Amino acid sequence: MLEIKNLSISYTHSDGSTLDVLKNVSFNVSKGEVVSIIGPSGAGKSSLLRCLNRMETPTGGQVIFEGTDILSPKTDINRIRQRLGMVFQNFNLFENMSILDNVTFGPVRILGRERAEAEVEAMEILRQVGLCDKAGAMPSSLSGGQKQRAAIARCLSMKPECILFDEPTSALDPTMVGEVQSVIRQLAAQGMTMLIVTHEMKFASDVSSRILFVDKGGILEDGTPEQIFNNPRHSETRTFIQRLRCLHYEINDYNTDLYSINSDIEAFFLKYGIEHRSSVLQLIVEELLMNILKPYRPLVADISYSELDYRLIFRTLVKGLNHKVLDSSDEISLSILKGMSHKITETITDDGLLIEIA
Amino acid sequence: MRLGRIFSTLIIFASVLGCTRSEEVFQPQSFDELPGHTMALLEGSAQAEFAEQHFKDKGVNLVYFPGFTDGMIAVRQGRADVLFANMLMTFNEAFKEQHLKICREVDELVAETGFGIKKGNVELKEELDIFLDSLITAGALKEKEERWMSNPDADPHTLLRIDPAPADPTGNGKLLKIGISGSQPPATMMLDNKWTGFEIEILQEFAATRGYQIQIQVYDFHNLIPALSSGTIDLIASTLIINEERKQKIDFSIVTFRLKTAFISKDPDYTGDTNIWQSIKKSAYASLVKDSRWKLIFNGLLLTIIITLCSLILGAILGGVVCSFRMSRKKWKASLAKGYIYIMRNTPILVFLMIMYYVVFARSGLNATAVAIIAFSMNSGAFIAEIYRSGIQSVSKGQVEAGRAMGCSAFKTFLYIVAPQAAKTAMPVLTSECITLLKGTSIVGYISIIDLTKASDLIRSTSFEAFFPLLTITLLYFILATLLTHILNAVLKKL
Repeated sequence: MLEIKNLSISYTHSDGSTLDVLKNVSFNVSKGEVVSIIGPSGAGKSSLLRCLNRMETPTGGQVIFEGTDILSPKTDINRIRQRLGMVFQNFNLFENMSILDNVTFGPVRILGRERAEAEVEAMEILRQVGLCDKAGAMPSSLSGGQKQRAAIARCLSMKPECILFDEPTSALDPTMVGEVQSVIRQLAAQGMTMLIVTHEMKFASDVSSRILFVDKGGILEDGTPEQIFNNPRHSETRTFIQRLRCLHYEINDYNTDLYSINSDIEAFFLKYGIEHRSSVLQLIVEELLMNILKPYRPLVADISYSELDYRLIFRTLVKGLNHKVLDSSDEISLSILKGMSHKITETITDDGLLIEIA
Repeated sequence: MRLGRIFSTLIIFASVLGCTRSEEVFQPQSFDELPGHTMALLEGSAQAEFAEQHFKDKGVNLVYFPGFTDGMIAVRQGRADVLFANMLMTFNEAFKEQHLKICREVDELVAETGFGIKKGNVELKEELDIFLDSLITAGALKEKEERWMSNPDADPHTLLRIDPAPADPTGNGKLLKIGISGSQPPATMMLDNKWTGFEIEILQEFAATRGYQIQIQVYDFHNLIPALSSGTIDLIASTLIINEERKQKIDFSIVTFRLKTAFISKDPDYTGDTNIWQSIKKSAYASLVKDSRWKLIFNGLLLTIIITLCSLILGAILGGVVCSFRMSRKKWKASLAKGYIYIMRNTPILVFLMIMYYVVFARSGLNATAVAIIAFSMNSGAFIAEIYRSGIQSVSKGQVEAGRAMGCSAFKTFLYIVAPQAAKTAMPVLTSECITLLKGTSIVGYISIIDLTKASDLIRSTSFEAFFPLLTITLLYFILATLLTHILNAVLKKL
């Protein structure tokens, strides 16, 4: 249904410098697919979506919708947009019209249909999104969730073949996210082709048939939700999905300043609101780096914390070491480490000895 | 509150009747008596120049007024002790109602007056001089002077007498545009909506003899010479005093009339009207009823309405165009509109109006009303453009995006989504701009249009009554503004 070929987007700043957002992105969307586009802020997800109906003009590449190149100047873009709905983060309902008029606007004013007929259909659509009783209300009197459902209804009134959702729940209170998501789920169940830019990982994973992970100027990963969430191939994907927060340390000489490491750990923990767990980690760092691994330098230490499942992992790599050390080390230290953690693994890699404490 | 009302009523009556003070009336017989007193002068007059030379540092307090009427009212109200001016206005029949008296005619200051002609217009000057010369030889000029100037009790309707001498009509019906400075009876005066008077009669006779058509245009006195120089008019008939300074700028016909100067002060015998209602009635009669003066107001009202409505409609259209340029993505369009708005906003509308009339359209032959409509449309167009823009910018961009994303054309999106919301925001500001425009048109008198304000000026200078003409037009402006507000509010409710 949609073919995107070598799409590039870059912005020119007022000072003349250019910022490349996306470079040579290609993918296809078939009929009935629900594709979620995820990725860190500023990765170009929304820009990518807005290029698909030419709300933004890409710097290069092609977008082909049902055999028509929509970026060609000869294409009647309004015709295409009538078949390719869009739902916005900020709803963008027409403030001067009632909800019913918002929903009949497209059929009556754009498609030139009879008002009476359009109103019957509009009421049916409103019933579908659960807003029958709000038909006569003005947009300003609705809650955020209701507004977004009305915006979806307005979009459906054009009978689109595909709908583009641009962060449909980002501007909503957490309590209203569910009602909007359930409307989108219902559309997915009816077989509507949809592209959804979202930050809601759980929602993306249940509603989509496919997920695109966008970062570093392109699609880093493209696969089913299972692949992306359970088996990400790239570390960026994993970091993003598990919402990992990392602290990285490199220790090269033998005069390690434990106090400065400790204060860095405390600052990091404070930043993510887990300061109650910092003393445990400080103890692990002290035992491992100052006692067990004292003779081994240089080494690299990483602390990663997942905001998704609250797991804290300490990983250290002793460069150039090719034998295990834990079993032959001081028993008191080892027992302290074991007492503080769930799991300790020790592996020898090409770079050296890797110790993971979870 | 109540005291205030009584007090303001008293002030109004005082201005209607002229406040008479009990103290002795100053009746100067010579210049030596002047020190210690306040003397009223007319701006730019020969008398003012004379007074500045002779009394300025001698303890005489000099105060200036734009016209004879204002100077007279000042004397009557006691704001000045004596008016020092030429005697032209004292020939007006309304002068005797003013309870003022000529204390002494001053022989030191006799001014010669004549018609003003554009420098270099030799044919017209010669033609007019030959004609005036023939009048003088036949004794007709003297007869006219006596009939108009020395007959304060005669009904002005009976005075006009035109005897075109049989001569060759070289004019061939050519239009002769005559500039006058409003009502200066008995030289120029309006009677039953027609101009008449000593000078008008001479020129009508001249036109009839030589086969010209006459068109009379009214200007403020100080605009007459610029109008003549720019070619907007061919002749000035305003008992124009011949002096060296003016001779530098324009040519004069041969002398038609010698104008004396006088001290004018309060009439010591007048003790105030006994019947207040009688005097109010008399004042209202002189302002509105006599010689169908209400017709002047009525015609002025129509002109004010025409100028306001046309300017509003054209301004609204022009505003739309300027606004679309201003909001255009093309840089040259936006800069053009910005420049236009900048110039219009920072030019006083009166100055702009005069530039349009005396410079831009001076030789175009376009009539003054059309020029006024063009000037006001251009001015309000700039303001209306900015009002539209603020309205359009108040509509969130997201709504436009939503419309466009549905496949709605830019025009329909603007028509159905942006415009109704923009109008709602802009309407209150637009209403106040419309009323500003309505009231702003009161300056068109500067370019010879007799609108509502100018009509009241003319009546004031003929009848010497300030209160009723001003009250009438104030009420009329008030009613017009109220109507305009209601109409615009009705439009707003429909949106």
